[in-house]
Amino acid sequence: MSKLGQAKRIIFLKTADGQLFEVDEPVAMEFEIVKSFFDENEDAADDTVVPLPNVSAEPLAGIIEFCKAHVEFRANGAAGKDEVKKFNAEYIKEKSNEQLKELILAANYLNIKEMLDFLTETIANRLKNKSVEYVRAFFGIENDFTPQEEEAVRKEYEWAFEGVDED
Amino acid sequence: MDMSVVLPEECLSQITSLTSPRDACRLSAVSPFFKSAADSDAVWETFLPSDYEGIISNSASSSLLSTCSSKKELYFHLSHKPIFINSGNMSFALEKESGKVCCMVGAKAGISVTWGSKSYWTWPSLPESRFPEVAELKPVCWFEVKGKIETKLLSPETTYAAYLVFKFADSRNGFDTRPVELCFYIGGMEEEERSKVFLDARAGAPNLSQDRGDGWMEIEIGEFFKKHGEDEGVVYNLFDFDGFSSKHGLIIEGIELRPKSV
Repeated sequence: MSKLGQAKRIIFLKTADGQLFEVDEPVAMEFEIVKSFFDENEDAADDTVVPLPNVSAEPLAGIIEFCKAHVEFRANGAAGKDEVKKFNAEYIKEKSNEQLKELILAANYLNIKEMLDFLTETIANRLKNKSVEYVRAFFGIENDFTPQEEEAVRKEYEWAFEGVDED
Repeated sequence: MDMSVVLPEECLSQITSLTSPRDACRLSAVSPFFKSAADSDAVWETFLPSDYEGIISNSASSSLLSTCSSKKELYFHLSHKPIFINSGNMSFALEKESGKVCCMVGAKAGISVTWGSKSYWTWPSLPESRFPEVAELKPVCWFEVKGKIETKLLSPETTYAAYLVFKFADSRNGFDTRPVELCFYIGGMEEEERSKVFLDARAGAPNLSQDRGDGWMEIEIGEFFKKHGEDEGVVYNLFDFDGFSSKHGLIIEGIELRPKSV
């Protein structure tokens, strides 16, 4: 770990699709999986490359952007303030459902609590008042209920299926 | 890619708990994996009021805490059938779609109906009432009902409306010829909502009261926004002071507070 006064330490991360990322230490340490890698390998060399076999380059770039901004917000004492909300809203606005899914899978694998909370809330908002078919398409789920099982659930909560948004 | 095979159930439960009870019921029809996440105690615990255990254990139905096999079952129990707290004088239930708290304060606890030592009310028991006693007005010239209702059990950050739940006895008089004055405000506030309503709708007059379908009528007497951590209570007052005609036959079950539908 770098000490005060020393040059900023860079962490090397390698994605599933073979891309190498150079990330500032405080940002990389937001990833619980990276943090525990170094906790468990205390004498790892500074140029150790941490392999991330479950994450590809695109979502990782998105995650680094998010964590970098949030590390700065915290350093500036802006955590929880309006500018954070504004950043989050801008960040997510351009993301498609597909990108959002890749982000949450990656954030879950990397174990980044703050980002996971934010993505969870975003996905919840995108699923509110949506039809069962929309949710299946969103998550890419093959329906493996039998028709009878599905009918039973729909019947029991008939009121919850009325007036949902058009897909 | 089927997300639900790679996303852990806790993640899915977390997403579901940030929707609403209505959404969660619909999500349980997506797939068996979704159903298991959407039906979990982790989800339904968040839809129950934060102090549900205390409220239920102080109610006449405290056994619910041990007899309900899941939080979801408990939720639907509370949304289908109110439980009774405050020595049976207050009913407590959840709005099915949202999980917001709905309360009704029975006449015995929610209204102050005496002037000096003299009561102008009788307390019959009616089979159609959820409370053991309701208040029936004896003949009076000066009519007044008032009370203060606690709001601490209500769901925070929610717009509520208060309703007078009432009906008329076979023998009734005076409420169709004159309106009653209505005033309503949040405890500690100066501002009052004031209006005049006919409790007994006449031909031609706007009928503001509604049939509840449970043997009672209701009329909205005010609305308020319940802020987080604020429970000043609400104060209401219904009166008609300058009538020379006698009134009688109004029966009050209580005052209901429930989220105002938008």
